[in-house]
Amino acid sequence: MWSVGNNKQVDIYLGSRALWITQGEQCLRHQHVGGFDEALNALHEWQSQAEPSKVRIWLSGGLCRPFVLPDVSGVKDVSELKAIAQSIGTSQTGLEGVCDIWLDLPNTPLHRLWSALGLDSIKPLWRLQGQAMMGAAIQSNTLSALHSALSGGGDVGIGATVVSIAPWWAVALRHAVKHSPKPKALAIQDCDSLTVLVANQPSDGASKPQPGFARATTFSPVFDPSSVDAALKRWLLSTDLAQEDVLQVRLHADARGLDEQPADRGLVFGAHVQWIGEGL
Amino acid sequence: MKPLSINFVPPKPFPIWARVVVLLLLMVMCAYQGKRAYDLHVQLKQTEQELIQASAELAQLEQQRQAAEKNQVKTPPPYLEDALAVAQLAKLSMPDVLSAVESPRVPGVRLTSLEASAKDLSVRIDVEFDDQKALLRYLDELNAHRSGIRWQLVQAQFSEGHASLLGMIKAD
Repeated sequence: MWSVGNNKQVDIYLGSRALWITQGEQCLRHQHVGGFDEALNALHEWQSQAEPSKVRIWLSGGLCRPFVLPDVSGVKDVSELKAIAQSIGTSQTGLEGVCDIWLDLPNTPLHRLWSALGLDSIKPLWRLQGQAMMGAAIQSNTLSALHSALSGGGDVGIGATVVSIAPWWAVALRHAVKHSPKPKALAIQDCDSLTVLVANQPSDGASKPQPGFARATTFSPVFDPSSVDAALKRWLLSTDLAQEDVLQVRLHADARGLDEQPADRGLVFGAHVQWIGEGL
Repeated sequence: MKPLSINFVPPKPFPIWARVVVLLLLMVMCAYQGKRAYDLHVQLKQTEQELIQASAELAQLEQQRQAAEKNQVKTPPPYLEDALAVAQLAKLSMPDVLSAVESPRVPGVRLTSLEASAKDLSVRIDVEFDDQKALLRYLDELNAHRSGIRWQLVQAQFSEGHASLLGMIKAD
């Protein structure tokens, strides 16, 4: 029923409230779920039948959460930085247990080779100090369960190539930064969370701000638009930002496309995305 | 604000075949450099041997040359006697000699001949004299002259009034 061309890539959105599977503009599966485990089971069932070759996993903001690692002085190498990020990320995001951490470090082949040879403990290529760094955290149990579900549970001959596992809010961010002028803050709502990213503001005397983020916050679980708006307004009170400074992105759980605005074809699941903000 | 390339899928490691290829290339390079180093080492040893041989030959030739110099009979050149005579003559100052024989003004004594010998550094003069006293006085005045020549009477014929005097020049 869900025939999948082996050469074409499949996009899977996975959250605690929804499972979406698309191939290009074709929706292969859309399902409301009552939790992450149910979503995993549904995914495993679909995967065993469809046998996709390549998949991209997009996680909800509740499963994969951003944090800002402040400037840490005295760090010697990347492994030490990652260990610090592990503890800070876990506490900032509110995720429980051991987490896998991603940091905004250069990841060129040279950097990977340098790290593989163990040279980063002698002289790191990365600039480790002097600036805050963006990170993302996901519970290790979540990640391993995801891999297990996609590998077919150990059955021989079943297994998809996972091209990427990333949060969907990163996709929305990539599209938001193309807007002109760039927003001061970005609020991304998906099926189970509201993720708010605040850009660096120019310091005194500077005309341009440093690229990067000043704050990153996740509200989860948040399910309906009214509670999202309330959470956003409460959060704005703790900042010096106004409502109009925030560019909002909503990924609607409804399987139908939005009629009142054209689908954002450059964005994954773009047919279900609503942009709210100035200049749009 | 900037885009983030988040991906929790670890990057693929270098495939095994690529690692094998890199390892083989490294081994080939090491073997090539090792062979070059060995060849240079052999060449260096050969050059050192050649240098030692050349030094030994040079020392042998030098010894032969020195031995030949010692054994060589030196034939004096044909002009040697004349050259020595000229050198000896250079020591003889004729102006001083003439000044010495002309300076005494003794009446009754007349200089008849003068012969200088550079070989013996001597001067022989023949004089005519009227009497014996004049002759002796002439001899005293010759010896008193500050020419450095020591005169002596070698032959005198008092009856005929002829005498020969020999003056020896001091060598410097």
